[in-house]
Amino acid sequence: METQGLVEVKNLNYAYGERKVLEDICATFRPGMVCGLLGPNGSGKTTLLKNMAALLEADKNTVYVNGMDIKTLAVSQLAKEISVVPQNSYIEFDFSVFDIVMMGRTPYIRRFAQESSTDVEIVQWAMKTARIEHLAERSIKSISGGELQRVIIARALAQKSNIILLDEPVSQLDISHQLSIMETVRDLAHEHGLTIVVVLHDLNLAAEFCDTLYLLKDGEIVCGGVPKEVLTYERIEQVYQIVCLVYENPVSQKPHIIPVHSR
Amino acid sequence: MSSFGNRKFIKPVFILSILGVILLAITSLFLGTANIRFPDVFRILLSYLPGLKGRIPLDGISDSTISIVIKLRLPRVILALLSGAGLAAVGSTMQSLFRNPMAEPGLLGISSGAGLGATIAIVIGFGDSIFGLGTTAIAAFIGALVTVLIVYNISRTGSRLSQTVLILAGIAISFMNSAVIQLLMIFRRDRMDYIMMWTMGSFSTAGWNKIFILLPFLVIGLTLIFIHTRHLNVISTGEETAKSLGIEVERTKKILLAVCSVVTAATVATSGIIGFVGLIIPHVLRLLVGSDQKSLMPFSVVGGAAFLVICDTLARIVAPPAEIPVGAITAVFGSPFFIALLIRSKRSVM
Amino acid sequence: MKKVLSLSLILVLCVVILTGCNYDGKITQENAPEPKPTSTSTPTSNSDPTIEEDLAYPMQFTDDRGNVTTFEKEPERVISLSPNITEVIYALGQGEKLVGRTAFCDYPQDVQSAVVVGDFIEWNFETILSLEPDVVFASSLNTEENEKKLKDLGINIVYLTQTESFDSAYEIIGMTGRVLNAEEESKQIIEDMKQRVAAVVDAVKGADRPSVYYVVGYGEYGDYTATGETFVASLLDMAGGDNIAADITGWVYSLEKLMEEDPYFILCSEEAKTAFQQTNGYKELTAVKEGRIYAIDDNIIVRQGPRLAMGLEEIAKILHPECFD
Repeated sequence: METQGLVEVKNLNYAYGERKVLEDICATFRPGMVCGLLGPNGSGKTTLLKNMAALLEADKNTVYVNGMDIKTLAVSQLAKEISVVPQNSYIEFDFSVFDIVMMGRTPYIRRFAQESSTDVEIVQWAMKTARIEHLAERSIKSISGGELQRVIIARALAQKSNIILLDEPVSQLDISHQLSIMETVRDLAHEHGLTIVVVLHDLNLAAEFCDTLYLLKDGEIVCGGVPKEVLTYERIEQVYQIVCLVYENPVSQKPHIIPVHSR
Repeated sequence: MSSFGNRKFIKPVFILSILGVILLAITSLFLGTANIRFPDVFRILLSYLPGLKGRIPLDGISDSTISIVIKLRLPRVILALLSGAGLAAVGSTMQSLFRNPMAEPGLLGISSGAGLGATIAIVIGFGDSIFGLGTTAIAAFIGALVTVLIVYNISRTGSRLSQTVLILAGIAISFMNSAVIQLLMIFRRDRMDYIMMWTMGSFSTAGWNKIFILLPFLVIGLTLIFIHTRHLNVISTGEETAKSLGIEVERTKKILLAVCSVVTAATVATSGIIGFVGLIIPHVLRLLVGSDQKSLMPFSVVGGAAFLVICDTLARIVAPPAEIPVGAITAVFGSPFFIALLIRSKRSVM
Repeated sequence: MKKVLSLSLILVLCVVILTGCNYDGKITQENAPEPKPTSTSTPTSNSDPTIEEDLAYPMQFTDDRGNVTTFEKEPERVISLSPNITEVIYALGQGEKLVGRTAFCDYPQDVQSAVVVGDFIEWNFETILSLEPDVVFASSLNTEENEKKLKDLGINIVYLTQTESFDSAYEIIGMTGRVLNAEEESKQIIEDMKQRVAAVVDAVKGADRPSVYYVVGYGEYGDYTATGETFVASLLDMAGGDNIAADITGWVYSLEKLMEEDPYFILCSEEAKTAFQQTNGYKELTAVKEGRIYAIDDNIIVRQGPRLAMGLEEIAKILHPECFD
């Protein structure tokens, strides 16, 4: 199972009605790697992520997990392969943190069965990995945004899938939460061997934490590769329509972008 | 919310509350406009227990007294229990399904549809009854289901159901139904009182026939709801989340909406429109036991049953010999209680 | 004050309208003035249809709904769920048997001693059962569901249809008399009523027929009147009036039409009279301006009971004072 978690997107086209959002997307996501999806608003990042999670359905068979077309998988089977951390995790009703993380076990618990001790163990492991053990009995309504994001990540972990898709997991958090959550996410790939696909807005965070990047513009992939290759100032200028400077971060040797002004 | 810490107390509390409802139901059998001595009620009830039949002497108790207890109060209490359980379970289900604490059994136009069906039957005035149910009840049942089907078809795009359209279509159809009811009342002023009394709901004509008609709907409906409590929890945190957690959301939604519609329609058809139970009972209990449907749903069922038994008992005894429509009681006595709880929970959050 | 008046008006309206409505129209009324003994059957007398006095108990009685009730003995405890039947029971001299009534049963004064068991629509079944009635009289005012429930409880229920015909009162009086073993008395009442009706019809014969409007409801609550298909309209007709609403059906009318027709006489209840005259629109009517609006007790013209003949007389005296000097 360790080697599982390969996601391939082959010639994906997607349109909301008449409006084309994704055009001929080809991408590969490998286990043990954090892959970032970058691009301006409306470039199709979230749509791509939702297609990979089968939350949206393209017309043709285009997304493959371990070589299997995701359309041939039952919803519950797919949930064992792919977990999603959505952009907006607002929850109307007050559940306890433990309850929410336990929901990650849904694809494994049969309809009439109770949670087993294995389920409880996995939930505890997930909470520990996401560093929210101390919140277990708290109400989901009483915790901070950063804590909520960790709870949702723990729920994704509890799904015990090999692939986790995260949609802007840190965009609404302060800088310390941004770093600590991204560190947790990186550990999931590097130490637990998961395939991580993460949509990000912050180019510097992406450069710092992602092993590979895809840069999207108007529904097409402009370029893909390691951060150093992708995040050149010409390309950023072209995609985001801004003037910027690109330095090398002296600590990590990753590219560091300083926006100057818009064009 | 502090209640999470009490997770392990939930089971004993639940058992206690079931005992409480049984006690409440029995107490209700002792109360009424007819002045029957408590020991007499006791003897009558004992004599009807299986195994004790014929062994308890009933001398000195008139036939009419026995009839009052066995044929009036008993079916009435049972029908109130069943209706309350059904309406509260439906309300709880709909609140989770729509992720909206304002959702209630009448949301999709079910009640107004039943009202329109009943109104048409009252205005036309068919004479016969089928399966021991009056034509008004049958017309109400049909009216409720037709309305839901219309609402459902309006909000369906392909195999998906749009939440917002569903609620809006329900509200729009409810307004239309109410308008037609009012028009019919204007043209048939002579039937107006009957229509108004019907729409306020009452258990006064409760009988075993109604219980046996409602029971199968309720048993099947509640079973399906209880099977889905875990899924309901997940759906209540978001539809896309639920799908990514391996739940066939659209199918589950359809099953549960169908169950909710049929149970509500059956309840409304047998007892008229009884508002408020489906809205406040799940809500109040949510404040007390939390939102986890695995515990909220059973508590809603028990709480709804208890609430309607209390309300119906009040309806019988507060203004003798007049009977107050139970729908009026649920609102008059329920709202202040509800508001008090809301204020309390607001304080605890602040 | 206006509010109180309006409320009482609505109450009266309810009584009036409910009394006038036809529940299911199953009974087709012929215009034969004779109360028909065939509408009930007493098996013991089947062999000899002329025997009507001296009803032997047990007696079988079939009511207007087809309910067959067997009375083992003369009913001693009676509940009436309709004001007109309550009046009949008292007129038959059986008032002391009445143990239960509706809140609307207010005539004669003595009814106060009977327990109120509900109104037309909501009945308190516990109270009814605990009164242990031998028979319960119901009418077109009550709901079928309630009747069914009462039957299920094993209570003898006798249902007397009120049709939109003056003769319906005779039917009701005759049948009530038969159930209560007071057939002689009922015949007397009917005979007396018929004589008084004949006298009125005779007195107004040949006189002019002034146009008349009977106010059931008015103003912000909507205009309601007794149109041609109602039995109240037949009273107006027999009293020598020309009901301006005779050519329409139902109970709904309109102010515009009322002003267009501008009737010579207006009849309304005592409670409504003052307010009616002061309401915009209505105060422009010729009958109001010239003081030809008369109050009349609704209960004597809408309840199909023994006082109906008196109601007819009162109307006739208003419309044709010259004929009753």
